[in-house]
Amino acid sequence: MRLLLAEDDPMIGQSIRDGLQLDGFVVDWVQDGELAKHALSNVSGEYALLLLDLGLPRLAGLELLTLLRKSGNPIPVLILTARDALSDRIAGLNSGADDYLVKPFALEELVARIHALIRRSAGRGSSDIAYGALRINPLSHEAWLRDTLIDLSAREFALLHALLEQPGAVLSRTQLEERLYGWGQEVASNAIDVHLHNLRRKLGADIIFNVRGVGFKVVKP
Amino acid sequence: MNSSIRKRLTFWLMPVLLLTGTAFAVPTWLNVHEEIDELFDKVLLDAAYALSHANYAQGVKPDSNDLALHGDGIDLVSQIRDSEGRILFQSHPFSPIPQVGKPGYDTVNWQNQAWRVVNLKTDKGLVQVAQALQERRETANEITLHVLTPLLILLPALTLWVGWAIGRGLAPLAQVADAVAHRNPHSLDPIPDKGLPAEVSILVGALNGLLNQLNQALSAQRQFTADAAHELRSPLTALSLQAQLAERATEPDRRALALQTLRQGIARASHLVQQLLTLARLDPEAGDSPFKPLFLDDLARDVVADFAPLAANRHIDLGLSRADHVRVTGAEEALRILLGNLIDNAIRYSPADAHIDISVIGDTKTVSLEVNDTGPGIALDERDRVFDRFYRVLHSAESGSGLGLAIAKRIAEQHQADITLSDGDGGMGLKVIVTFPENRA
Repeated sequence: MRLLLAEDDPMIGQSIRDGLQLDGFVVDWVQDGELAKHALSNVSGEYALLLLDLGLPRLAGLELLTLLRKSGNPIPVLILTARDALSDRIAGLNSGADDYLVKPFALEELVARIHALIRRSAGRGSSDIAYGALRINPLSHEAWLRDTLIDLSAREFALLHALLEQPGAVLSRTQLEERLYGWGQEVASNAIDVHLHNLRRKLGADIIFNVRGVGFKVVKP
Repeated sequence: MNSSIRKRLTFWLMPVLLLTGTAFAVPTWLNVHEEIDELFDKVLLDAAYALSHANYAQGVKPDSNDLALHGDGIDLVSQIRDSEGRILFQSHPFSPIPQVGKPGYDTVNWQNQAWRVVNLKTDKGLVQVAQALQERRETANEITLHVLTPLLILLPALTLWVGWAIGRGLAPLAQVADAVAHRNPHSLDPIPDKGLPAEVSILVGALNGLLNQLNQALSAQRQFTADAAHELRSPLTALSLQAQLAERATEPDRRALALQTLRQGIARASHLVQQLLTLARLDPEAGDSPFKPLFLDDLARDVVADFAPLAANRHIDLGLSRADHVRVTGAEEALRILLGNLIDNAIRYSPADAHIDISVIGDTKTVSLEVNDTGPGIALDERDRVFDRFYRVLHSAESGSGLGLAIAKRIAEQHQADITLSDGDGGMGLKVIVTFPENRA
């Protein structure tokens, strides 16, 4: 899952990015509001969530958020800030944020809140995503087929997760790459094919269907 | 003991009132007595003349209840003696009024009290008419009392009035005192001076000035505390995240890297705390550090030497390019911090292989200290803001405290020195110039 992190403090930004990567997220990190706006307007569909610091240079967090909501962008936004006053929190949520986390915070809580927000934005009540006999838990990175636990690598899980975010939807190879890899990460040209191959091997050959010239989708098992 | 204005005014005004009363009463009393004496003396004489022409029964001696001669409510006694001193007539039943040698008025003691007597010698003999002095005095006192009655009523009324007026006049003071009592560190709005008398208005004006200063100092303090708390949160957040990453790292390489970043985070947090402490110490309320004459070039040499290892570490060429032997008056420790912060900034934000030149320049008028680097410089529109507390230059990779230049400016202000930013020599980098007011060498 790919997230956009807007945080101007280099140490905090780097730590959050590293920490979230450990949890299987792909994180793109920008250090000012203008860059965040730019990233969102160009790659917007691919970000599952925006982590937003309020004290951003060039374009402040709240202004960015207001612009975003005005343009009708529904991306879930989690504000990360040192401003803990009640008025700040209310202003943040009223400007269109979905959640508010005050610094300093524990990585675990950040991860849990990200999952909760994504789950809610997908309209699900439980963190499990089920599609027929296929079920995955994005928090524990576990997948089950007919209640049998399937052992998947981090990339394989991420790929399956991406395909199951909107079950039945067709995702192109580029879209899949964008969800699995952040900026500046080297992607081998056949990387997606390798992971798809492994998924088919572990879940059954017909679980992932290739719509020729369009992309891939999961078939309800 | 505090003396109250009310007591003071009362103390000074009451004797004046009493004195005025006395000054009015005493002469009145004396005058009335004098006038009464004159008046009654004439009455006595008139009575004596009247008696001398009257027909009277010789040898009559009335009993004590039937006094023959009464003035109009004035008790007079009279008697007539012949040339041999025998009593021809007397209006009273007592022994005769003693005879005195000389004619005219006299005061004699008779019947156990003092009497005023007029002795009139006529061809019939000596006519004597007398009146008790006691009676005169009573009459005089009565008249005096009548005359003074309005004053006696007026004086206490006036006293009450003065007391009330003093209270009334002092009311604005009480009102201001009440307003001041209601002020506290959370409500320092000015005291309303509308309708106040000029004297109190001056006081209130001065008070309001003080309140305003206090308010500004307090809100600056509050702002700073809030800013500091906010700014401390960032390094703490970084630290906590870095520690969590280190905890999670399983491979030795990753763990070492995580611990390394953690150490950098700690260094950064310590730096911030250090700078905050420095700033707090520089606050005017914290007391002044002693100013003394010192050689600026010596100080610059020391500080440059202190920073040389750090610069060398970063492959930056740091040196003293000009060192005039000049003196300034200042606080040595503060000036060290000033120059140290400027050099630290230059090192922090300059790339490897940059040059940092320090100059101490003394000309006839001023002494200046320059730090010239070949780093990225500061954009024109940011040059004013970099002196603000916690302001950081956009897109700097370094996470400084945001306080370095704020501290430098504060120290410069304490030394009445100017601190300005310009392009570095040769058009690149940054030059910071601190100009001390005059050459005191």
